[in-house]
This record gives sequence, C-alpha cells and structure tokens, in this order.
Amino acid sequence: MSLLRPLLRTLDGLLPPRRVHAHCDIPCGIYDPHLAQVGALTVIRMNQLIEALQKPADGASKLDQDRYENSLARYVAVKEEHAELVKREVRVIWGDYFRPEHLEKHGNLHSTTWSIMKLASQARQQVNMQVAQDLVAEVQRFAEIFWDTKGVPVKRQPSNQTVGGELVVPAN
Amino acid sequence: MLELLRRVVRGLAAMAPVSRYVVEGSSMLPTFAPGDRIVVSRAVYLWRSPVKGDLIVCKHPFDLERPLLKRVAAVSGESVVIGTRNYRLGAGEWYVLGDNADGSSDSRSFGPVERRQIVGKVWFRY
Repeated sequence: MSLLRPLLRTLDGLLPPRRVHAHCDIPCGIYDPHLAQVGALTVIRMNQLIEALQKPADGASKLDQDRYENSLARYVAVKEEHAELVKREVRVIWGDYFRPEHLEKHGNLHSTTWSIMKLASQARQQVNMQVAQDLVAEVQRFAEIFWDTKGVPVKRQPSNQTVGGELVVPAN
Repeated sequence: MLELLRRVVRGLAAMAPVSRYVVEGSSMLPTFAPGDRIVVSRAVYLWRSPVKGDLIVCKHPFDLERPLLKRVAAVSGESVVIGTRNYRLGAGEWYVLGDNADGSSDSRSFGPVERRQIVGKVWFRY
C-alpha cells in the first residue's frame, strides 16, 4: 500500500479523481456561523503573515526570491479563499435561515450582512489589517444575532489559535 | 502530448474495475472526512451482492450523475422506516445511510437504491 499511495497520487495529478458526494442536499435546518468566524479570523492571520514576510534584499539568491514569492502567493490565495468562505456562509444563513420575524427584532440584520459582504470583498482586494478586524467584528455581530434568534445565550471566548481574537459561541 | 496522455489514461480508467474518488461533504464523518481519497471496486459486486455494513458508492436515485458515498444499512427483505411509514425492502433494493446521521441525505429521504444504481464497494483509502 505504501508504494500504491504515491502512485495513485501521481495519477490524481494527471487525471483528477471524481467527486463523490457525502453531504446533505435537502433543507436540513442546520446552520452555524462558526465557519464564517473561522474564515474571518483566517483573513486576519493571512494579513499578519503577509506583514511579517521579509522581502529578500536586492541581489538575493533565486531560491530566496522563489521562497518569498511562493509564501506570498500562498498567503494571498488563502486570504482570498477564506474571505469568500465568509461571504458564502453568511449569505446562506441570511438567505435560507433568517425570517421576517427575526428582522423585526434585529433591525440591523440586513445592514450587518451587507457590511460583511463589502468588508470581505475589501479583504480580498487589499492587504489591510483594519478591514480584516472590522470583518471579524461584523461576523461576530452576525453570530450574536443568529444565536439570539434561536434563544441561545452566547459568550465570547478566546480562539486559542495563533491569530488570537475571539469566537462567539453558545454559552452552554 | 499531455492531452493525448490524459485521454489514454481516461479511457483506461473507464474500463478499469476500480475507480478513484475524492470525498466531498461531511455526511460520512467520522469514517470519511472531506478531501479523503478512496478507491472503489466495481468488480466485487459482479459475484456477490452488497451486504449490510458495506461502504458503497451509489448514484443518487433522482440524479444519476451524482455519485454518493453511503453505508448499506439494510438489505432486501428487511423492514425500514422511510419518511413516516414502514417499508419492506423488495428484491434488488438496498437501504443506505450516512454515518453522520444528523447531516446526511440518504434513503431516509430518497428511498432505497437499486442494484443498477450501485457503482461499487469502497476498497481502501489512499
């Protein structure tokens, strides 16, 4: 098997495997803003990594240049991906879960959602820590609205990740 | 040249008794996580039928282009609950479930799958 694995992985590179679905494709009523929060925190982390990345000095070796460009490309790609994840998760909850009675109680629901969409787009376009932090704050507000509509008290707890920050989670 | 090679490999793969798949979604947690890669044997069911507990790839009964990863939970002759009613599986019918029951679309919603909808048995993960 140990020989077969790299062989199959090589084959995957040449001809990708088919996708087999193992997910829920009916309205199951299961929604959770956790992924959106993780996505927003990841955007912050990518900004941290980009800011900390040292550009090679003039005359640096090609290998050092390549390493720098490789790291930068990866950080930007992950930032893009997770900002888009935030938009998708929030859009689904906003469109599929929230009902008019929720809007009556939380008049800022639409503006919060709209703000998240705009901030996530800016987070993709720019290297901007303030935008990333504002995005996290808005997603946390969205999470608080979500859990309130379910009558679930929440707390803010440390993410316990390198990025720092907090997550809004059910209190119990 | 690369495209020609791809076509050859694709042609060989179509004839092969095994297929490769990458898992999408979480309905088979904890057994399979999203991104897991598996090899499925299409040959094994040529000489025997799927039995309870088999991990299989089957086609969605309402969308035959959509392969699903499920576990056989009941076989022909057994009684199961579909929706709100009891149902006895007929000949050539299999009842399949996701291991992550709270987040799975399976025979509870789309009913049993037929033999012709079963692609093969999961052989190993790589």
